[in-house]
Amino acid sequence: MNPAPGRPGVAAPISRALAFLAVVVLIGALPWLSGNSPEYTVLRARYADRPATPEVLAQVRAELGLDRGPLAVFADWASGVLAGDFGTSWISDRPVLPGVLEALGVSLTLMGAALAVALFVAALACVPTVRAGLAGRPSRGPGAAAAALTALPEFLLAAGLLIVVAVWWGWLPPYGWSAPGHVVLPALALGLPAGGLIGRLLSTAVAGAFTEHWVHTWAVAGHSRARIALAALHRALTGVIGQIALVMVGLTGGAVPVEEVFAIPGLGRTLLGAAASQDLPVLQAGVLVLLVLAAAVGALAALIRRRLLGPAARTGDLPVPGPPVGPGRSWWVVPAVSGALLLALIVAGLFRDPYSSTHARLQPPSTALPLGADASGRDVLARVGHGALDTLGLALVVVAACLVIGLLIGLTGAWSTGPVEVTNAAPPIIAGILVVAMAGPSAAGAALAVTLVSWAPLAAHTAALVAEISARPYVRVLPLLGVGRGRILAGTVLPTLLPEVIRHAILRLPGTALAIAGLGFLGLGQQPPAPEWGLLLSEGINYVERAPWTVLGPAVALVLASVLAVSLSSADIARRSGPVPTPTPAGIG
Amino acid sequence: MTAVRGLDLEVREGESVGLVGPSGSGKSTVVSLLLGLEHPDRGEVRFDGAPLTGRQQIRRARQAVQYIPQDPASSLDPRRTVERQLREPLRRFRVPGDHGRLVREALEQVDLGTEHLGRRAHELSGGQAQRVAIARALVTRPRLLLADEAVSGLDLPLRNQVLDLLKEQHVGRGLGLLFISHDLTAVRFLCDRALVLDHGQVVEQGPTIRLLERPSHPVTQELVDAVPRLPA
Repeated sequence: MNPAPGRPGVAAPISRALAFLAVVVLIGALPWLSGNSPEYTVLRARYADRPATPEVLAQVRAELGLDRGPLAVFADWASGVLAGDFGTSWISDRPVLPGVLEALGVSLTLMGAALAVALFVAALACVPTVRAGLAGRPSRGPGAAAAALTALPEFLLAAGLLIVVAVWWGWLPPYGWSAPGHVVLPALALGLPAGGLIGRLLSTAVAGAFTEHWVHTWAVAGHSRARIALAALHRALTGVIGQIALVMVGLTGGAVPVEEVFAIPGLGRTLLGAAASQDLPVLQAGVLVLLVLAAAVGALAALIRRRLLGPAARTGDLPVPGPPVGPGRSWWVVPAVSGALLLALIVAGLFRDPYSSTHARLQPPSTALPLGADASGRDVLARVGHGALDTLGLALVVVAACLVIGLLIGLTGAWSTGPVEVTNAAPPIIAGILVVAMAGPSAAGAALAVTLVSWAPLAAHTAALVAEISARPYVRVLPLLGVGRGRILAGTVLPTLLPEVIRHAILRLPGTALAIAGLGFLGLGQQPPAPEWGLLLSEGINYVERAPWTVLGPAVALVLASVLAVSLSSADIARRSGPVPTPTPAGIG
Repeated sequence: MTAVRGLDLEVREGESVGLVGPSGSGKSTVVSLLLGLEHPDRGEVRFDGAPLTGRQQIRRARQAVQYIPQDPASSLDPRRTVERQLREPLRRFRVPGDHGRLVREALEQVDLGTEHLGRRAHELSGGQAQRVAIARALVTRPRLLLADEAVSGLDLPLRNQVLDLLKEQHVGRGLGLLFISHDLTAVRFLCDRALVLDHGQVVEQGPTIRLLERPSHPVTQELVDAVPRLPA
């Protein structure tokens, strides 16, 4: 009946299994895939006294078993993992698993604390929506500005909290993981953005639940306000629990920069260290553990959703929400102001020289040098302006690549389920770590890493549009006019969905720039002396006590970019969820 | 779930047959089976005596059996001109001859002029859009038209226009017609004989006049009772 490719019945589970298998094979074959001659690393780490002659390197290669091809390397690793043996570290020559599990314990503690922060923030964000709902007023959820402020990238928030709370105010310890006080700042850095995101998702869903007819019926029947509020929350959770699970999985990626900034011996920092030193067995075990963790969180979310829905999950008897409230009339103010400020900052810097060290070291800001000079005496404003070309230019390339990949994979319909789910569960930083382990840090590597994970939302959007457009009467009639499946897809479905998906891709530009900057901040992206924003921030952070202006410029640019990203996407969500003309259920069948 | 069971239906060349039944009686499943969009679990659909299996045979059948959906206007692509939509099936079915002339003739058959060729769906009135959809079904010179609730959603003048048009194609050009509807007056206007479908089974069949005047099955009786009458 449906000309859309892919039968949802079999395609989705098969595609899930294949995608999971592909990732496991990728992890298992990592040592063989690594283009950076790991034997040299191992030689330096283990036998510093032996010269790096071709014979010695070949001997190390044979020792590591790398000379037997990818299949053998994978088979060795997989059989070891199945027997509980994750191999020995190439650097320390000790078993990998105990260290990884210890680091996992630390990370889980941090994530637990961050989750508590996140749930508290999310609950706060929902209060106005619930109040409006109980009073029978329509609600748009939390304001875009408030949402944008809670949605700063973790690495920026971690750096900010470290500088302000730990260094300037001295209220909490800056580094380490030995006392309970060490948990507070990292948990805030990790939990605030997650809480902002969950709060936004949940309060939009709560606002939707309050427009359903049962609310009115319950109120008339004399149920208490608290009872109705709880029921609305229950109803809202069923819709967004999957997305909340994704946010929780995303904590694994966010934890990497937070652990790095606060020097916490967690899994993220272990992975980062393993990637830098090319200790691939540690990296394999860590990434596999993260994958299992992500799968467990996803399964738990699916279970919770089933419990929340009860019998309605089987019968499909769910109430229909009323039409949502569209974006307010002044929705454009926040993105327009942040965009204009960002543009002004960039343009001001573009006409200055970012590379020559003509100023005094850490020279304070003045009229001639508005943002001061960095530790090498370079103009910070110039570096921020030129960095925009690096960061945003790279983001543009990444978004274009993601658009093509997302369209191609999304057009396969239900077959895209597995790759999309697996990719959604992989934060850009984890992908960045894997790419760096294989090819070393570089701008191209960062772009590749962000591309590897950022196509998934575009593919999911494309797949949803394919299903929707294919159900329209004028598309369903095409096979009867002799039009083949491929021609329907290329000639009718694709041109219809293309403008929508391109618009979505453009909206993702600032967020992509932030992901690239995040990799730069961790040293996984562009290398000095490039003026990339994340790199500028990580260079400046060492001098923050003496010269706070070194981080101010890049931090302001990144904050503006994230406010722009979040406010654009919330306006878009409100616009897209607005009343859309549904295809008439006419046609055949 | 079984939607249709034990159905034996034959439409001969140039014949007009009505398939009536209440909602959910399996009419749409019959349409999907006849168009080769679904395949029966048991039994077979034959076209020109050959079973409707395999791409070639389905393709051949689709050119000869054209389809007018419920709400034909919504079956027009909003982005394409009338001309392009009428040329599409000619190209896909590789119909020989001058396609421009065939398109103009098809429009003529539904009383539309060439000034409509460059228009898109939103530039047509409701009635014009219905006609274009019917012209698209006629353009490949089919031998059988399958009209699935083609007049159910229409207002009365438009309904009558479409019925007149279908009658003209059937009587004037000898086009076969399988008219699926729950509207018995429309069936009486168009069809010589009819089948009554309920819960996927034929409960009564015969000449349309007899079914209407002396219904023997309760479902047929209900359908007859549902026909609005002017007070005497």
